[in-house]
Amino acid sequence: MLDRKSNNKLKQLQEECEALFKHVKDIIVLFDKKGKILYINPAVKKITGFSIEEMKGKSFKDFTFVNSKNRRKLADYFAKRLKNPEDQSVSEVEGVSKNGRKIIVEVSANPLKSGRKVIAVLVIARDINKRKQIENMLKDSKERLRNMLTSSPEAITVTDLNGFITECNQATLNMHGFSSKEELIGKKAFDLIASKDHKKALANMKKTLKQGFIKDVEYTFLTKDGREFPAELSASVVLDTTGKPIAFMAITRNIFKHKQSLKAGKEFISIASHQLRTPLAIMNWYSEMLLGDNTGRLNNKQGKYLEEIYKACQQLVRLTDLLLNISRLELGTLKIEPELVDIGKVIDNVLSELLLQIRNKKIKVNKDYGKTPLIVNADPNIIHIIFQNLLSNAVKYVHEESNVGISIKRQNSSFLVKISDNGYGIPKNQRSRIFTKFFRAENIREKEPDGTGLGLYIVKSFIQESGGKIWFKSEENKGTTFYIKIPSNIKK
Amino acid sequence: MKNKLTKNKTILLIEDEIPTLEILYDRFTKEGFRVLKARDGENGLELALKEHPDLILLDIILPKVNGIEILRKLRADNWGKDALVIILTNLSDIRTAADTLENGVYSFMVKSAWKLEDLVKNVKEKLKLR
Repeated sequence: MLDRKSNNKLKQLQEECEALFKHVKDIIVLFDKKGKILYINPAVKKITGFSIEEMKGKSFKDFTFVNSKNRRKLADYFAKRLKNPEDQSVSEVEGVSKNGRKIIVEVSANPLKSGRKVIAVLVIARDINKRKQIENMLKDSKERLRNMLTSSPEAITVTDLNGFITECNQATLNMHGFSSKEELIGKKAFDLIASKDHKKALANMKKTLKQGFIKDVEYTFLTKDGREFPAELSASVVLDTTGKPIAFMAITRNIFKHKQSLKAGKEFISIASHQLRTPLAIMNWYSEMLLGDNTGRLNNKQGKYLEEIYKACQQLVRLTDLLLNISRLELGTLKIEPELVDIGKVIDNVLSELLLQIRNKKIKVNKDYGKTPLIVNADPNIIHIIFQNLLSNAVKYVHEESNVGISIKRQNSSFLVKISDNGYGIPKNQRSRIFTKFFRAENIREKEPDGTGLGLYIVKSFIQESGGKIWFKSEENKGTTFYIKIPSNIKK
Repeated sequence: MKNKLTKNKTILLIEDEIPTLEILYDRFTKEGFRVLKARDGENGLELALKEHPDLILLDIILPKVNGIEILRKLRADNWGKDALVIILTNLSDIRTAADTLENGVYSFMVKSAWKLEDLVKNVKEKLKLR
């Protein structure tokens, strides 16, 4: 039995509850020490379907809508809270409402004291059914995501911002020869990359963080037992809901086979070029010997015919070189070997190669090289090919007695070369396509049926490879000017 | 006149393609040189080390011993280390390999890119005959 003071306090509490909790959405219950309900608010009807009248006076042990397991859970929780009032824990209890709906409530119990004696327990039961549903949905989608990651045929690895592996899938394990995830999680991702690539990987990590992603960077990776293999990695930064970076996710692809086939292609080109050039050299040299008076004089007709054969051979040599350069470009095997090159000299060499055509067409060449030295650090072969194509175009696509102008100017750290002619020009509707492979403008196809449509494609690719730029202005029947910007220090 | 300069100079051709070998032989003989021929790498290296020619025109793809190997072996030899060599090939992509061996001082010519006349000029220049 409670003393008078406690009884009064209890009564007061009951009254206060009536006044305070009528409109609260959570169920508020005031239990006496034995677990009997002294007060319960109207929310109970909404959540459990049972009315205040049905609940009042009952003990929680009589809650038929909660099964025995949950009743025990509730009893244990109350006991724990009574024993240790400082503990702030809550408990989740499940039951079934009067109309058969599932109830999940989060229960928190707060012992109320009069003096040092506990006289009642105030319980708040919050309906968390919806929250639970959302939680389950989240769990489901997380699970699905994990399944996707696990079953992906691409090797996916997640690391924290310091590069420690936090998650990876089976494909990653297979690629590196590990048998379980435990072997990898917690390890530094750099341990999977050959040390010679660490510097590059670190720089790329910073870059990824800065721009949010990185695509197709190649590293030498390591298997568990230290064997090296080439792989291509793409990664992105994973953000939290506030947009803060929290992790890296990387997809890695072993490109060993791909590299092998590239190598095979490269070898094929090398062999093919040798095979093509051998008979070409023989044809060239034998024609040259015959033409060069070494075996007695040929009559005029013979000389003329042989001249044609010789010219066709030269054309074939150029074509072979062109095709070789294209395959090198497209296979990425083009080697740029920079040395100090005088652009003016290269252009003069090209002009001397074209001397015959220039004379035959009575073309006037105007040179303006300025006074500064025209030295660039570039691959001389590439520079030669660029100007060989541009100048032979200029000579080819003009009328007789036209002008071709070449000017070179220094502009800060680069040179601007201008090659202009007053020739056929490029039709307006075809200007966007002139750097496209195999494209030839309509107005010159008849005049010069021999072009390959590869020259400007090569020129543009080579200039881009060298970090330069090319553009042009043209008007049909008035002429064309090409502008070529070459950095004086070309990247290797 | 030119024969006087070239008469006492020997050129060794190491080349397996007969038509190429023959035209080079004819052209250099006509120029007055003494010309030796080898049709495989083994024979070529043997002739080089025995005859000590003034200049070697060396193909790369050769039976038995390839051109790069010949160059390596020549450079390891007391006489061969200073021998004049012009690599005459159609493999432009091995230029780097040849350069490395020749310490940057290379003579590397792609057959299909050169006229015989320019080849002769280059040889004479190397032999300081011009």
